[in-house]
Amino acid sequence: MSSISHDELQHIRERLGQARGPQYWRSLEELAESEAFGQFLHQEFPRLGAVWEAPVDRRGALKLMAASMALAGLTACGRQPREFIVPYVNMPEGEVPGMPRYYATSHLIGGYAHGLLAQSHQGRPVKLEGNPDHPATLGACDVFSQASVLSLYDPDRSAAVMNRAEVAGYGSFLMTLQDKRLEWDRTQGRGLCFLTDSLTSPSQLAALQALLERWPEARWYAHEPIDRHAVYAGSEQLFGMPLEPVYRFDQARIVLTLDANFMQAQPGFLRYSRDFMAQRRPRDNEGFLARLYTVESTPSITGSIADHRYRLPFHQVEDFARQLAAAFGLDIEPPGDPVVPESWLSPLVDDLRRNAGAAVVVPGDQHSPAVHAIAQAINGKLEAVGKTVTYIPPVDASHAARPLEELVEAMQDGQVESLVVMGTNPVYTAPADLDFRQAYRQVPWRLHWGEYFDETGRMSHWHIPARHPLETWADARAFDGTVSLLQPLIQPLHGGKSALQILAALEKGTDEDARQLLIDYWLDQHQGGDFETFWRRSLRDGMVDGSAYATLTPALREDWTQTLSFASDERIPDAAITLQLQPDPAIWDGSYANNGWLQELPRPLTKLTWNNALLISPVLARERGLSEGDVVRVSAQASGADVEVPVYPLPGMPDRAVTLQLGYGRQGGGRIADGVGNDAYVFHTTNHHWASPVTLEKLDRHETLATTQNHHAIHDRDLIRATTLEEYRKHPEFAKHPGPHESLYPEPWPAEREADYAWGMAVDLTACIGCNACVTACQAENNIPIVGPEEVSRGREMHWIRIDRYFEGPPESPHLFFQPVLCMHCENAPCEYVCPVEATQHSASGLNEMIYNRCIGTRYCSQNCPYKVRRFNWFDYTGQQATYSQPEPVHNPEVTVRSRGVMEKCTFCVQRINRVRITADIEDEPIPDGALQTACQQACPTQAIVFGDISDEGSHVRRLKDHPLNYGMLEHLNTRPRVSYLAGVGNPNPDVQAPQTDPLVAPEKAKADVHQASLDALDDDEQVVKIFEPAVTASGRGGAA
Amino acid sequence: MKRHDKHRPLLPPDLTHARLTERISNLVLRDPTPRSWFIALLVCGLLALMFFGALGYMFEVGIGLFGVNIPVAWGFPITNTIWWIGIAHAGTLISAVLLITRQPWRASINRFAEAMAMFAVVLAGAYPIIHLGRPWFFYYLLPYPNAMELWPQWRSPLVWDFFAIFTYLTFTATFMYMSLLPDLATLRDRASSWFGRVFYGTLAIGWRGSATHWARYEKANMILSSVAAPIVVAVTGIISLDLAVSIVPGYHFTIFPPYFVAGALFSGFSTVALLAVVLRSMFGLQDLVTRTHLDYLGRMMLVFALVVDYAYTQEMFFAWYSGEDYYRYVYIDRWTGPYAPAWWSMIVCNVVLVQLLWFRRVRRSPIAMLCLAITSDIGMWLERFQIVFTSTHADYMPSAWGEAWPTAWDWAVYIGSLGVFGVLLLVFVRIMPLISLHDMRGLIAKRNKGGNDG
Repeated sequence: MSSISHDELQHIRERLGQARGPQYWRSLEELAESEAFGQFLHQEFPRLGAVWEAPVDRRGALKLMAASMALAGLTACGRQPREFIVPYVNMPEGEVPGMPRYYATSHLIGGYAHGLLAQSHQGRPVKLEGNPDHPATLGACDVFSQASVLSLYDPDRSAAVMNRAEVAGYGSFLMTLQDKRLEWDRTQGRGLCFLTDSLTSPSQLAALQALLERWPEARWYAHEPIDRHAVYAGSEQLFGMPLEPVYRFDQARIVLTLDANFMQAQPGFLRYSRDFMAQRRPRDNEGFLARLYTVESTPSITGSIADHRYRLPFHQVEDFARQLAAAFGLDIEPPGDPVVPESWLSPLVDDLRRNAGAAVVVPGDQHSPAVHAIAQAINGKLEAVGKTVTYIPPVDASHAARPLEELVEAMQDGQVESLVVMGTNPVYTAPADLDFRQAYRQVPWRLHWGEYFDETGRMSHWHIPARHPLETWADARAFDGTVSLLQPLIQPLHGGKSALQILAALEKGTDEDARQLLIDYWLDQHQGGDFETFWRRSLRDGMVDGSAYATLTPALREDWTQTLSFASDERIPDAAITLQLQPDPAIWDGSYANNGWLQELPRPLTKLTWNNALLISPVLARERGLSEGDVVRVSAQASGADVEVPVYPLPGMPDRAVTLQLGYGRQGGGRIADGVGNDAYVFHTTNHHWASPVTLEKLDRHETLATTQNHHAIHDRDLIRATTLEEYRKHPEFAKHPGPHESLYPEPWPAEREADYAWGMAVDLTACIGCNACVTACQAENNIPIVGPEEVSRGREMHWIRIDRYFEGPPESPHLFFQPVLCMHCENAPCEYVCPVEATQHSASGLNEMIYNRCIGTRYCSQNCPYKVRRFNWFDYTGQQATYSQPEPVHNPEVTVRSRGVMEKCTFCVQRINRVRITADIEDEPIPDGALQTACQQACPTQAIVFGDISDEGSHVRRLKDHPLNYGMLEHLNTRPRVSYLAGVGNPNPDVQAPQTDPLVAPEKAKADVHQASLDALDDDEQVVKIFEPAVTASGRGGAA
Repeated sequence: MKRHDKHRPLLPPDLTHARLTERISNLVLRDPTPRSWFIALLVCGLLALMFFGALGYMFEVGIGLFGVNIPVAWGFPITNTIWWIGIAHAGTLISAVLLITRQPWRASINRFAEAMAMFAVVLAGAYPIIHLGRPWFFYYLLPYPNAMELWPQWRSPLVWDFFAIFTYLTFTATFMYMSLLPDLATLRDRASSWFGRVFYGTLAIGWRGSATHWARYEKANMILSSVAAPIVVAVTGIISLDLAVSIVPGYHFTIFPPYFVAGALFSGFSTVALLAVVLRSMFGLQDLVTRTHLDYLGRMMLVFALVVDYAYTQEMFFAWYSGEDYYRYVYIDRWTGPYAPAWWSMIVCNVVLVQLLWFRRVRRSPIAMLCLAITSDIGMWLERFQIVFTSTHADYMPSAWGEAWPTAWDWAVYIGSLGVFGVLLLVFVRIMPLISLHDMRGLIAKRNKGGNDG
């Protein structure tokens, strides 16, 4: 660049002298406006030069601006939803956005409390987990409690006070009530009746009793569809007072159940499962495994894991109890013909006797009082009282109420002026022969309080919406009497009143505060100490400390054997087919029928979803020419009621027995519930509560059943490995099979990548009881959609964890095996190398990860997955347009909601791993073993799933991986799964030589038997039941029966 | 071969250069369109509409319309891809490999065989995109520069697939266009309308038929033909690796690449035979596409069918010989399982019926060849179907076993694609000479020189 001459400088000075205001210049040359500067600019910055030389004219500038505006506008396509961001005025204490908070609360199952921890994300409950301190759960969680969070957001929940099917205000209800109360005051409550379900809440009981005291003529009736009346009646027979038995399976070595599904359908079942299975895991105790004998009708998960299962039709269970009583020397007349052969009975009796003090007999809730009396009497003989069984006062206070039959009688006689129905839904669930619907119509003033505007609500003058347990203040007792508290996590979404509020309104006529009512009650109860401390601590714990009932040691009545009446006196003829009714393992008595998670939950034994098929034995199916899905007409002989229902042949059913689950065929349950399945309550009568003789008539119709597992035999494949305790002692490493051949080529071993942790899992097949808790936990944790029956029957269910169920042995009395299967997180994953877009990858710590954004849906990964654990979004299952869309608030904000067209699968709950890892990183501490639980592991009541760092020598999961029973499924494919299994070990009694049907003496014989009973009924293309690994399992997990 | 030429000439004895040019170019430029062409176009057009309608709805709601599930996550689209790519193969083989091996009978059939290959490969390439869960992201398969520096996963056979099909499409298009050049020039010279002159003239890109042009043409043709042979083998070979590279019993066989190539050529020759029979009667070309041509096509079909049959036996033998229950079970399931009808129909089509081709009378009968071509195409489709469906429907874990059955949408897209193919081919034969003029002229010249094929 040329230098500036003296003249030019002079020129500049002159110009600056003339200029006004500030002038900015880049250089002296510019200031001089010299030609040289122009050239320099052009050389150095050609584009700038162009602008400099040819300034944009006005029109051009406008054009450019318009174009830019248009382009800028393009990026703004798509309407932004209008939203307001409002900060908290007062930030709740401890609230950190993104950090979930936990509150202790409870969920009631049949009235019995399960203590829970509710996970709340910024005021929105999204997941329920077991409360580790609560005696009923100890940190585990059942399917009903977990799924209840979905019901909270159920759009079909009752949302308004209804008066004669029209929306009304709560105020106008209170005004109406005022008149009624004056009337009741006048008449001492004559004609006023209360109908409740089971009542374990101390505060509600007190409030109700206050009402009954105030109006002495008022009556209290109770109706719980899955009632436990016989339990109390039995102890009344035996001890002269109603008592609640509480079993202590942690003390038990020998257990006999009389059609008692104590792992799934009895109060305290989570605790019972945990206690019992803890006695049965060879990983914890190789010396002894608790032994389970089961006599039952319909196969249950309890019967499935039994060492010896004897199938009897429902009505013969009582005969068996009598036979057993006689064997124990009780003064009970044995049945005419022994129902169980001596060869089965006497080793059992010997075994029980030998283990007196550590043995227990558990009768089923649905069986007659006589069965309960006998069972508890035998427990007395076995020195079980105080050790393996204890007695406490009845937890369910409603046993003292009058039964529904009397209410219906009173209604029919016109003695009922006003009826208050609280929580229960008798129009749907009452015994059919009572014709509750007709009688109810005759009541002049009917009030219904419930969560749904259901069958009963629609027939009532007044319907008051109840609060969901996550919205309410309440208390309830657990199976051992522990008072558990329910506290709200959210304002009632649809208004709604708590039970105490309704009772208070009846008493005082005012709308009281739900929380204050509960506090007032406990303030009364509280003695000594600071109430505030007591209350806060109880809320924090979710229960009232030390509130469990003290155990009683009752004495036997002298003449109890004389007054016993047997149901089997009016016995069902042996030739008839017995229909047994059961609560459904997923929707219970029908109260969960509008819950999509539960409807789509594969039922443990049938893997059936969205329907209640008639379970029949393969023998009966063959005899009647029925195969899965064929529709039959079931007609009750006594009442003439009939239902047309598809059949499902289930191995292990008694030959002449069929079973139907309750809770289906709703007509006022909501959009999901209505029209699903068939109503089995039509067979539920006062005489034949749980079983009745029926006839079957094959119809010329077929229904496709939505099952998630269509093949039931294992085809000689060594996916499940199991043996007996004896064999295990001889060959502890029996489950180790030869691994893959060594590869000729170097292989990438992601396991040896550098990482601080190596995540892995072990699943104990001995402990798994197939209860589905893990499936629901995963569904809730990982935002897994429901797809509906059509999609399930097309093989498109979305569960990330499934529980495979295989039969082994003769179809009449097979063994069952459950195997939870989730993504194996193979170190040498077949899915990874085939993905063309690298949408599935391996993390350094050993997770097989899905990158949803990258997935284009070639589905090659699923094709190449030998475990078939991947799930594909065939349609938009998650959007609000989906057929079964889920309410958005229930989604876990830490997990991506997957869109249409992408693959998904188990992530080992990577969001939980990362949350714990980040915390550990911040604190600069290693993650301690056990600090991290996957959702499935956390929910598991039997601790069958153990997750952790397998590179940590001391971790629990590592110890299990080093256990001789540890094996990898399909390991010979060289997939190197990070999920491994502990082979199952059973403990059959070698003295039980004669199983019920054809003995499993030799594998050849057994195979011949299977062949003989070829079960075309179940599968057209295969024999359902095959023996696998006869050498190991012939004497297998239970030696048949 | 020469013996046959004497007895059964490939050309009518009185055919001269001028007469040939006249006949074939008049088909395009002057003759009225045959009524059967319109009927065929109507049918195919309606089917094509069904194809696009079904696809439109599928893109709207999702791939779930198809009869696929877990475990059978691949269904009709993959079956159809393999089938179409197989059909595409014979076209290139006839044009290229038969050219190199100097087979005179290729002259009158290579043009429509190439067109067939071209359109078949277009459909073969469409299906893998149709079957994606999110087809609008198909470009993730491309190694395009992006901010995340993500490339496709080169270990995945699907990426190889993408390149194989794309290569094949490019190659077929180039090859066909080049062989069209001299004929386009002929049409340009003979076109009477202004539009025809401009249309064909533009496409002919200045071909004047000079000796230099011809010398270069011949050289390029030989080079492309030599490239063609490995491509033909590689493309179907790579498609077969989609299956063979996986660990699925029933997919994982090392025999798959040659087995699939043989199958591809079998179905390809069948389709050429089918088109030959249809087109010669539609346009009255019985003297140019003679029964001798059908005879040769029949022989090719038979040869490749026998190779395919041999592959069947080997596949079964190795399933047994592997000692793996999983592999053995796949076969038992194919014979007796829910998809057994497909397997046995395939055996009837590909093993039993093709044996008729041993008889010269059958090979020389247009009707018989038409029927056998159709059954062979069906047989090969069933072969692809049963490989894709039966292998994963009952693989390792009995608990996960399941069946998938095609839905109406599957059939709409499959049959619709036949319509698309038909429309493309019908339009092609209407605007392009369906018999290669210059190849035929060469053949006439050769005959005139007394059979010296130099």
